Amino acid sequence: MRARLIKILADLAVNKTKLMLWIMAGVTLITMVLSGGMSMTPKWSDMLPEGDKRTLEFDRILEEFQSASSIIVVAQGSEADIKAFADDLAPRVLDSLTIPGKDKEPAIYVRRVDYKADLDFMKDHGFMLMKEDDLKNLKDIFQDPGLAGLLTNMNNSFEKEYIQPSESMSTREEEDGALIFLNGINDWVEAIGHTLRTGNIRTADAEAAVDKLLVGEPYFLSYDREALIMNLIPTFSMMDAFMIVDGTDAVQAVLNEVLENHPDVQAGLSGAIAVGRDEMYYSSQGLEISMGLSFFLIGALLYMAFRMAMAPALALLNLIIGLIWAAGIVAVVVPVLNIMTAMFMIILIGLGIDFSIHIISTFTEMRAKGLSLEAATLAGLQKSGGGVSTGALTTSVAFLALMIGDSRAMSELGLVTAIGLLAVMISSFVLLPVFLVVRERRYTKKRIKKGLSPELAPRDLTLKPLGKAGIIIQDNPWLSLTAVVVVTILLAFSAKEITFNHNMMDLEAEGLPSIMLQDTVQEKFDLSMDFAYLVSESVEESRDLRKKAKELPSVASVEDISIFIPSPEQQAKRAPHIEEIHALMEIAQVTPIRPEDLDRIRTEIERLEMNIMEFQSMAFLGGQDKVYRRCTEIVGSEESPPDITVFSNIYGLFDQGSSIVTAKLNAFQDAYADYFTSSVLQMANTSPLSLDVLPESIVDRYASKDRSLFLTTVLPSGNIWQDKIFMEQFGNELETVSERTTGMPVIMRALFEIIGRDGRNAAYLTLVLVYLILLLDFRSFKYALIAMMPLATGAVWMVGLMQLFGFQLDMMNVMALPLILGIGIDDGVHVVHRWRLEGPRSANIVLSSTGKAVLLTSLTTILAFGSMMFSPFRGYASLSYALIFGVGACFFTTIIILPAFMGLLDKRK
Amino acid sequence: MNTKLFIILILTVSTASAQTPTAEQIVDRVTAIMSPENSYSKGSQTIITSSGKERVFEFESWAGGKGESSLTRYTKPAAIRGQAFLMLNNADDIWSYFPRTKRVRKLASHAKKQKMQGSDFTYEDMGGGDVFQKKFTSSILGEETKDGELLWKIQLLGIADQEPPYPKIIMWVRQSDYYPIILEYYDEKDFNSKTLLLSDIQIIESYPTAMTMVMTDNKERSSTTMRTLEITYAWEPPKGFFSERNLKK
Repeated sequence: MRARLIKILADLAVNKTKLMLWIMAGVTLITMVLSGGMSMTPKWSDMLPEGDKRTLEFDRILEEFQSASSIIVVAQGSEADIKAFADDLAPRVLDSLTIPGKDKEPAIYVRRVDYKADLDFMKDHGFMLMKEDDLKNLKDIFQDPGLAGLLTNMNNSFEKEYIQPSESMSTREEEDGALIFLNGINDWVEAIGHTLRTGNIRTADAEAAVDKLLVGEPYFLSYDREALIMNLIPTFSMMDAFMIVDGTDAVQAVLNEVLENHPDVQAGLSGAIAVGRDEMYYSSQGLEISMGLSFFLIGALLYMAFRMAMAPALALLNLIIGLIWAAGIVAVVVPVLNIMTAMFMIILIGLGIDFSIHIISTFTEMRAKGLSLEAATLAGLQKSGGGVSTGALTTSVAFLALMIGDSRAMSELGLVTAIGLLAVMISSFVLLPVFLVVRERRYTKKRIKKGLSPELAPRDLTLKPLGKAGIIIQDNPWLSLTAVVVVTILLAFSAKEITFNHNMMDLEAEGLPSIMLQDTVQEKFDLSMDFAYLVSESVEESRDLRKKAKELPSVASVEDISIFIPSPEQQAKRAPHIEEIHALMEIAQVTPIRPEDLDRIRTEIERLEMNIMEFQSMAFLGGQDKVYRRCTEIVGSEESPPDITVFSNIYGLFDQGSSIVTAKLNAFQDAYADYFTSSVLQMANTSPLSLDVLPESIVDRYASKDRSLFLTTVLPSGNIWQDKIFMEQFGNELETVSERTTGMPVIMRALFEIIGRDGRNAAYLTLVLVYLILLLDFRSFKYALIAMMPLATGAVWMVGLMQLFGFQLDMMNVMALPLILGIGIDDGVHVVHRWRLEGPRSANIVLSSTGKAVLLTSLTTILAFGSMMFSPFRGYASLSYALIFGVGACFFTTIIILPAFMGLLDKRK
Repeated sequence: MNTKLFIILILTVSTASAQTPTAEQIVDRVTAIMSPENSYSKGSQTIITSSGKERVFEFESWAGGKGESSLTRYTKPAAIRGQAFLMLNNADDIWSYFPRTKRVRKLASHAKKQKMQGSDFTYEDMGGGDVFQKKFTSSILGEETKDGELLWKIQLLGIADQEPPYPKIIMWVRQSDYYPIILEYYDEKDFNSKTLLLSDIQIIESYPTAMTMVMTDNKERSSTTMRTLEITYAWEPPKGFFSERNLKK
């Protein structure tokens, strides 16, 4: 049947050339239109099985919760500069924005900007949000707003806090609390110093110092206060693939404009949307570069191999048309490509060109032998057709075997690549002979015009050195096989040592602005973006989840709406303390500072400094680096005491004369005392906190659009990428809290599991199916087995060599293992086919002819995959290295093992 | 009684006895071996800071009254040189001295349950005395062999009205010398919250002494290593040594 089909195709190519060209043009046009419907998703979750509860939950979160899909602006510079930049940028991004370089109407891409805490809310309910213990500790501060009394009470409170440092600072949240306290004190003391120096203080500055003392810093500043975060809530979600690019580009354009007015500020975009945009943009760009580069390199290689320009041109033209057909069909079957399936085109280039090479190789060989056009077309297809079709089928079946996996990463990649490969194979059988006939006819006409003979002089296009190597191996089969066995054993030992790199960050693009800013956020804010999510249906459920999650050993901190809505029991416990503060502050009297109060004030300032020094020592011993650093900034350190600190500035100013100092301190007290009193009274509010009273900016952060669902964000206590056991522990523990746990750590843990299992199953199935196809093709157990031997050995060499050269397996290159089974089998198939065609002891002709084609196809495949090395995505580069090792190993095992078998088996005959 | 004679007597009795001792007898002997009358040592403590960096402290430590009183003074690094802690009454009373401010501050009594200087040890863990005997009931769970060493597995259950430091402790004790090598501490939810491993056990002046102790906090996923660099049990505390006045010196 195959022979009959090949004869029909050869006949059509020679006798119905124009008709064939028209039909193929029509098919190409239709598939080109269809391929326009293809798009790409940057989400790793889209690689999990369809219907996977973690993916569904993750998608629901992205869809429902605005805070899960945000654009984060990270600004760096001095504290004053970045605050001014943020104030400038915030209103601008809310305007209608245009996308540079795109002919689109301006549109609103940002719904809200969160870059300052809601101070009004904090001042209305600040005390109700404090823990009961903190209220007990701190309430002393709020007894006396007068400067001397306030400093004394502050010290008393400081010393109370000091006696329980580990309890209050054992977690990150508590360490943050200590920093807020220290920052407030620092600014307060600075304000005193400013007044003593200048004689007055602006009311706004005094009030700002009070606000910092009572409710903390409103801007989202880093620990070193040299970076600032703005959270831009977009009008679209992470699910809108096209809006991700447009929205991010529009925001970036405004940011660039604003930056022009702030030359000392550096700023960029990060967060899920910006990272998604960068990944889509750079991965597409990377794949485009890879495709262009592979076309060029393959073309150059073919030109050198065939010694004529037309051969590579026709091979590449056929490949391009085959790819268009493949893209058209794939767009219908799998319209949205994921990170893994997006590279199917590269795989098709690497494998699809092989069909053209084999067909052109045999066709030109036949023509060089002096056969007529008709005879050469038929003979070319006959001699290569068997190998090409069997090779294409085995490779496609190997890819289809990936479909037994649950993960979309593998099953979809298997499906699209198998479909694509068959499309390219069909174009190679149907279209390529037509091109070859057209080319030959034109060439013949040219020769006749020039008065030359229409027939070509016979030429030898075989690769003699390979043939000679074949003869040596064939004549020394045992020696060759022994060498292969020894190398294979050594590489098998090496392969056993290979380790798995679970760090997904090593697969991400290097140097992408959004990813680099993620690192900045991690470093400056100690804030990881690798959190897990839990969803609940009520505030009570959310509170319960938070409580349970906080108790997990693998959890660092948990954030949810219940932080702002304490339970009724908690509120009831806090209320009496708040009422006490209210009562104390209501009767508090501020009396003017007298000269005789100065000593006490100065003593209390010294006591405050000593308290911070002792706090600093305890923080150093306790390993609380952030607290230690901040204390050192405020009071210096014993090893290198600074000349000037906020405290040392003050002491000298007390020497201005008691009446002057008294007047200045009274000016300070007058500027802040009333505001302090009214602020404390405002904060001492016992009205119950509920969802209804929370400001929109807070509710939006934790609640779904319709307020029916609530999001809990859980930060792991370790590095999930560098510690696989920890990643599993984190996922397992969270699943005990909620079955619907999701987020990157959970999804990646599932991906590792599923892809590992899928890969193993697919590899076993591939081996069985490939063997069955070879059995059908060769109708011989022996030849089917021999054809598979180079592949089995090559797979061992591949992993062994990877380990030897210092590579690790990872999420991307582990796919190379099942892939190489489909790709590597072709070499053996072609050589065994030709061997059986040429007869006994034919190593010379088989290797010099088919061997040359196998070498060429291996090189083209290596060039195609090798081009992915230049992709900014290190995952693609990692896969490309693995496939290069695999394809190279399979080539060498083929040209060593098979001639050895030719020698062994043919000797017996 | 002469200390050496006492230890020899314990070991002789244990070897001579044909019967397996009771859990209480084992705990009594552990307490005796672990609580020498007095000691002076130099040591180091390694902690992991909140930024994930390793920090090593060196200190001198004096203990008296079978661990009832102790004074620890840090010698390195410079940032805390001279800072000292005085613990009396099995860590019920703790004072700290800060050389930079020259102030002595008393820590609250409940501080003994808190982490000691960022380590995974609490002040109470470092206190000696007869806590195992007074605050726990003990039972033998079985015998096990670890690294070729025959061990008793002892369960210590806290007596509620004695305010035990932990609700439950599982302790592996070497049968050869009654020295504990593993202690697992359990919380109220019966979660193995911390594990203490004692290793590099050397006989110093007749006392088996763990030169390395590693406490792992299984919840916080952190660990603290305490190394004894030198130690003697022959030191005798001068009168008034364990006092607030001496803390300042």
